Amino acid sequence: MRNKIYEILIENGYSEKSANLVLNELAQLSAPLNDCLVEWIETGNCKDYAVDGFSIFDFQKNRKMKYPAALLTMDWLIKEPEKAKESLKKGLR
Amino acid sequence: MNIEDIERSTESIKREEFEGLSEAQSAYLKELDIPADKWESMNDSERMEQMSTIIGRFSEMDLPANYNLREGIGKLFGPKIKDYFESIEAPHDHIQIDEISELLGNCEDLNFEKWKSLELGEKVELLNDLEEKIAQIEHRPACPIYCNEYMGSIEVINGNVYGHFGGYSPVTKDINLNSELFTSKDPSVFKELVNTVVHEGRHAYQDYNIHVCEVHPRHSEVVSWAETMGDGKWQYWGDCSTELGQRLYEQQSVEIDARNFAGDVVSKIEDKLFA
Repeated sequence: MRNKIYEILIENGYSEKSANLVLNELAQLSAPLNDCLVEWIETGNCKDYAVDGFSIFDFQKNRKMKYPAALLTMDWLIKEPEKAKESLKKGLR
Repeated sequence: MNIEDIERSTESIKREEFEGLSEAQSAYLKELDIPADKWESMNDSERMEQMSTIIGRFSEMDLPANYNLREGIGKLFGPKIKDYFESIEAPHDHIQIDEISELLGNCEDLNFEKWKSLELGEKVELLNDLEEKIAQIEHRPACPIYCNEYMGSIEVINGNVYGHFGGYSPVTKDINLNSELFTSKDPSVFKELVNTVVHEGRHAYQDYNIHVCEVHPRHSEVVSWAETMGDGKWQYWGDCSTELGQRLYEQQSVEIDARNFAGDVVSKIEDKLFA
């Protein structure tokens, strides 16, 4: 599975280093995000999930995140909600 | 234990084992020593080039992150080179922060009420003038600042300012700022503009230290910044949140440093500029 995820990340424009970095993070996704990842890997289908007014699709649309990046951001919101919300409140520079 | 923990523990082993430069390393460095009379005949750009080569050789050696470069140069090179190194070394961060705060805090045109009355061209010129002075304080070359109309919209929701404020390019060595930061009449947006100028300038300082000449007084911090630069260990730079997610973006050493540095400056001048 790890190899398959790596290949798909590369196909989606990740560099080798970024893919390896993201791969390690994706391996620790909380439920149900791990199921979303599996579905994306196997079918290419992106499933949405929302927490406290933030959603995966919003991250993709408004912050131009690729699906794995949006999953990781949602995972951060689940694991460290205060820190993640504080960070998401800020603009980008 | 994750990858970072393993690297940290390897680093601490390296520090414990380090017993100074080997004879071969010292000899390799001393090859670059220059007699005082020859040094005197060199112009500033030749001296800077020589110093960059010397610092580059130190960097090749994978020395511990807390290696004292100033002490090393003092031991291996003549007094002229040692003095030159000390003259190009930037002030410590707290001094830089004080000096930049004083510069911005005392700039009348940067008072929000006055700022609002300036034409766009005047605002861009003012920020370029200030960037020149900030660069002098940081002992690095100044970057051109541009007003960019293609960075999307800036929104204020419940007092929080959202959008893409700006960025420093390590390729073109310039700073682009979102044009909406210049035109907004909202003081919270203006505050983000000032913060972004200092923040992006700090990225220019990090880039200069890593790729051109190490002038920052703490070598270990430069080592840590180098890991998250474009050609560093993680090979990312700028808005990597689109690929790596918000957490990894937020926690890059270069971002933490620039955020804290600019945050300290802005908190010191808040009363003067945004009152």
